Amino acid sequence: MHAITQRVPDAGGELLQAAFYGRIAAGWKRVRRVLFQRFHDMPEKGEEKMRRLIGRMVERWRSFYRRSSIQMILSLSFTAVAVTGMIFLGLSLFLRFSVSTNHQLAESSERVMAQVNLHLDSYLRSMMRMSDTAYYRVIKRIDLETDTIDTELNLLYEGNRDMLVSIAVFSQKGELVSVAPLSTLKNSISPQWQEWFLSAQGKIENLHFSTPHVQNLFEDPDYRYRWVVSLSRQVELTRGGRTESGVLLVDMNFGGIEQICKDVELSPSGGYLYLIDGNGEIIYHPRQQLIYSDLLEENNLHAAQYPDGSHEELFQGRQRQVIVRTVGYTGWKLVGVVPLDGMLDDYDQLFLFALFVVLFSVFLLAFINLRLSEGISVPIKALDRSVKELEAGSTEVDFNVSGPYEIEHLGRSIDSLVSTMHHLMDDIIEQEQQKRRSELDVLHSQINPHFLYNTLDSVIWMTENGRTDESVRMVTSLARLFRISLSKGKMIIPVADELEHARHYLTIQQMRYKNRFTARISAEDGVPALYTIKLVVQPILENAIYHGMAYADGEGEILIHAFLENGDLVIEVADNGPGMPKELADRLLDQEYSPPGSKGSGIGLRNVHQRIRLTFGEPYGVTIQSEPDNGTVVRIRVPALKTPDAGTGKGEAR
Amino acid sequence: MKRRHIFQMGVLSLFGMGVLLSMVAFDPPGLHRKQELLSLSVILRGADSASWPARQGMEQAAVDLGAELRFLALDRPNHAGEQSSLLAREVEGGADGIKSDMSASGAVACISADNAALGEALGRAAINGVPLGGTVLLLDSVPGSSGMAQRLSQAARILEENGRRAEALGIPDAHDLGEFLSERYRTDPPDAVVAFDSETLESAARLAREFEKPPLLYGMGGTNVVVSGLERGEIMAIASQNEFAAGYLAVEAAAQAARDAPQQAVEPLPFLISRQENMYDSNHEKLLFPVTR
Repeated sequence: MHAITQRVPDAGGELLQAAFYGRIAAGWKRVRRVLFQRFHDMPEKGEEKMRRLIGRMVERWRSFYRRSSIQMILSLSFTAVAVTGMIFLGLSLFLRFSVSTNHQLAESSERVMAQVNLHLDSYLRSMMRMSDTAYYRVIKRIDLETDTIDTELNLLYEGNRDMLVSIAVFSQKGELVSVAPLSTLKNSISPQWQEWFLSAQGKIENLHFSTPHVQNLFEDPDYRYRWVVSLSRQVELTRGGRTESGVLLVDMNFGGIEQICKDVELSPSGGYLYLIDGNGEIIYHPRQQLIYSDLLEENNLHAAQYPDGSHEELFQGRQRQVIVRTVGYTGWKLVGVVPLDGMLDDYDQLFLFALFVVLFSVFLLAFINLRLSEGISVPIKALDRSVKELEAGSTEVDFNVSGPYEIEHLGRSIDSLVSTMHHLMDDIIEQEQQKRRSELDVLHSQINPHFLYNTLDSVIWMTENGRTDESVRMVTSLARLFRISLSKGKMIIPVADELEHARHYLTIQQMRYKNRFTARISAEDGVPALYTIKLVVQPILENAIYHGMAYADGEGEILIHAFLENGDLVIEVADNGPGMPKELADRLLDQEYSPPGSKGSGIGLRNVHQRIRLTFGEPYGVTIQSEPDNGTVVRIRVPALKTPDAGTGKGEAR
Repeated sequence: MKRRHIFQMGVLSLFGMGVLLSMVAFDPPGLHRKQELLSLSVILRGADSASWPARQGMEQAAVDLGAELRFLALDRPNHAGEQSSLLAREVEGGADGIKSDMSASGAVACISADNAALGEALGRAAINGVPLGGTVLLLDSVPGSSGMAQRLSQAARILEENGRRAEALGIPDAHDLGEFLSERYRTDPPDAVVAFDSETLESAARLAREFEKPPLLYGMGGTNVVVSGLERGEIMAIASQNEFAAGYLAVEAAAQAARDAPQQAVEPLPFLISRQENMYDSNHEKLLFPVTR
C-alpha cells in the first residue's frame, strides 16, 4: 500500500485546480521530452536544428504570405485574432468556473463533515452525560452495603436502550456490582484484565472511550455477540460508609455511531466518510467487513497522521481529497474521502464540450470572416482583373468598381490614367503614320525630278534636231506617264495602269536610246485587274536601261512579265545586260551600301523596296538575281490586291 | 451559390451537429445508469445452511456488482438430485449465474478454504488433547463430498502419524447424528471428536452437554452457537474461515462468469484455529464476529 500525501492549505478549489494544472504540466513535459528526444537522437545539435527549423518555418510563412490573396490574409488575420481572444476568454471562464465549482464542492463536503462531527459529538456527549448520571446521581448516592443500584441503572438503561447495550459497575477486583439489563457474568471472563477496565483505572477522573470490540461479559441465551464501544471510568463505590474504587462501564450500541455516519454522501461523484481512533484503527467504515476480510484496503493508518483539514492523497493509483476532523473527547478522527477522478472526469466532459464549442465558433468565425473579407477584397480583385486584362492588351477595360471609397477612387484614377495612356498612344500612332507618309512622300519626290530631268532633256534634244513627231510622241508618253503617276493622288493603282506607266516610260527611253533595246510587256490573265503600289516598275526599268542596256554588247532586251505566284503578285523585270556579281546584287538593297565606281547609287531599287516594305511589310519587296554576263532579273513581289483598299490596312497595321 | 460556399456550409453544419452531440454527451441521459442487473441464484445446501455473514457478503457483492440474488433452499439437505433439478430449473429460467455452497467439480470457480490444510490443522489441534493411542472420531457428515473427504483424510493422516487412532464415522443424515454419537459415547467413547462442518459441530456440542465426561470436541464452524461453545469450553478449538469473504468472492466470481469477464484464479480462503484463550484477539475477533452491515 502506497500513499503520497500533501497538505493543502485551502480545501477543494485549489486542490482540483492544482490537479488540472498538474495534468496540463505533465502533458507539456511529455511533449518537451519527446521533442528533446527527437532532436537529441539526430546527429546535429538540437539547438542548431531548432534554429534551422524556425528559420524554415519563417521562410515558409513569408512565402505563403506573398502567395496568398488579400482575402485569405484578411480571413486568417481576423480569425486568428478572434480565436485567440475567444480561447483566452473561454479558458479564463472555464478555469474560473472550475475553481468556483471546486470551492463549492469542497465547502459542501466540509459542511457535511462538520454536521456529522456535530452529531457524533452530540452522541458522545449524551453517552458521557449518561455516565455522569449513573455515577453522580446513582452510584455516589448509594451505599452498596445497604442498598442496591440495580433499579436506578435499569431505569437509566431503559431510558436509553436504543443507544446502549449495557451499563455495568465493577469492583476494583473485577467483580460485578450491578448491571442493566440484568445479566450474568460469564465464567470465562475476567473483567479486571480487559482493556477498558485497565484504561479506566489508569485515567482516574477521566472518561475512556474504547475502540469497537465484541461485548463478551454477560451470558446471552441467544448466543448474541454485539459490537460495542465502551465508555469506562473509574468510580468511587461506597460500601458500609467506606469508599472503594470501582469501574463504571457503559457499553454503547455500535449501531448508534453507524446511524450517524452511514449514508453520508460527500460529493455527487461518490464520497464517503469513516471513523478511526488515534492509532488509525477503524471504528466505523461503510465497508468495514470488506476491509476486515482483506477484500478492500483503506488508507486509515496514514489518515491517523493527518492534522485536521483538507489533504490530497494518492491511494492505490487514485487521487483523493481527504478531509479530517478530530472528534472531541475521544481522539477519534472523522475522515471524509472524495475521489477526485470522478470530478476530473466531469471536467474532462466539460472540457470536451468547450472544445466543441470553440471549434464550432472557430469555423463559424472563419466562415463569417471569409464572407466579410470577400466583401472587402472583391472590388480589389475586380480592379486586379481589370489591370491584368489591360496588361493582356485589351482596350475595352472597365475600371469602375463599386466598393469602399478608396477602392472606387483607385479605380477611377486607374481609368483616368489608362484613358490618358490611350490618348497618348493614339497620338503616337498618328504621329508615326504621319511620319511614314512623309517618308513615302519624300521617296516619291526622289523619283520625279530625276526622271523629269532626263526626259525633258531628250525632248529638248529631239526638238532641236527637228524630230517633231518623235518629240510629240515622247511628250505624249510623258504626259501619259505623269497622269498615271498622279492617279488622282492614289498610292494604289491597277496593275494595268502600272504596266501602262512602264510602257510609256520604255517608249520615252527607247526614243532616247535610239532603239538600242527592245522591250516586251506581258501579264497573266486577270493580273492587270489586280492592284499594286504605283511607280514600282519604272525605277527597275530605269536601272535596267542605265546599267544593263547602256552596256549591252548586242541588241538589248527587256522583258516585263506580271504573274501570280503563291497568291502574291510578282512583276518580273529581266534584261540581258552585262549583269553583276552575286555579292553586289545581294547588297544593292542595303540602305548603307553605295556601289563603288558605279554610275548611280541604286537608290531607285532601294526606294521601291522600302516603299513596298513600308506599305506591306515583310516578306514583300524587291529581289535581285544576277550573274556577270548573264543579265539581271529583278522581281517585285506585292500582295495580290483585288481592291485598292485591301492593302492599305495591312501596310498601316505594320 | 458557389460549390465552395456549399462545402463551407456543410462543414459548418457538421460542426453544429458536433456541438449538439457534445451537449448531449455532456450529460447524456443514462450516463450514470447502473449496470444491468444480473440475476444470480444461490442454492443453499441445507434449509438454512448459509451463515448470516456469508449472506451479507453475497449481498454486499450483489450491490457492488449489480446483481440480484435469489436464495433457494433444498427440501432435503445435501440432496444431489434436488440440487440438479434446481440447477436445471434455474438455467431454464434464465439465471445469469448460480452459486452453490457446495464444492462441485466443473464449476467456473470454487470458493473454499484449502480442505487438505484445514483437515491437517484440525488433526494437529486434536493431537494436543488426546493421549498417545487414543481414539479420535472423525465425523463425515456429507459422505461422498470430495471436500469433506479431503479434510477427513488429512486429519486422519496427521493423527495416525502422531500415534493416535483415527476413526471415520459416516453420518448420511444429520438428524441421525445424535443417535449415532450417543450410542458410540456409551459403548466405545472416543477421546476426541472432530466435526468438519458447523452444523455437525453444533449438534455434537449440544450432545456433549448430556454427558458427564464427553469427549473433547474440535471442528469447523463460526456460528454463534459454536463460538459460544468454544467460549464455554465445550469445544476445544475451531477452525473458521471468513464467511463474509466467501460469500462475497462467490458472487463476484459468478457475476464475472455471467458477464464473460476473464476469470481470475481464486486463492483458497484463509482460516484460523481459534481457542478459548485467543478468541478475542483482534484477528480472531474480526473473523468470529463479523461486523455485518
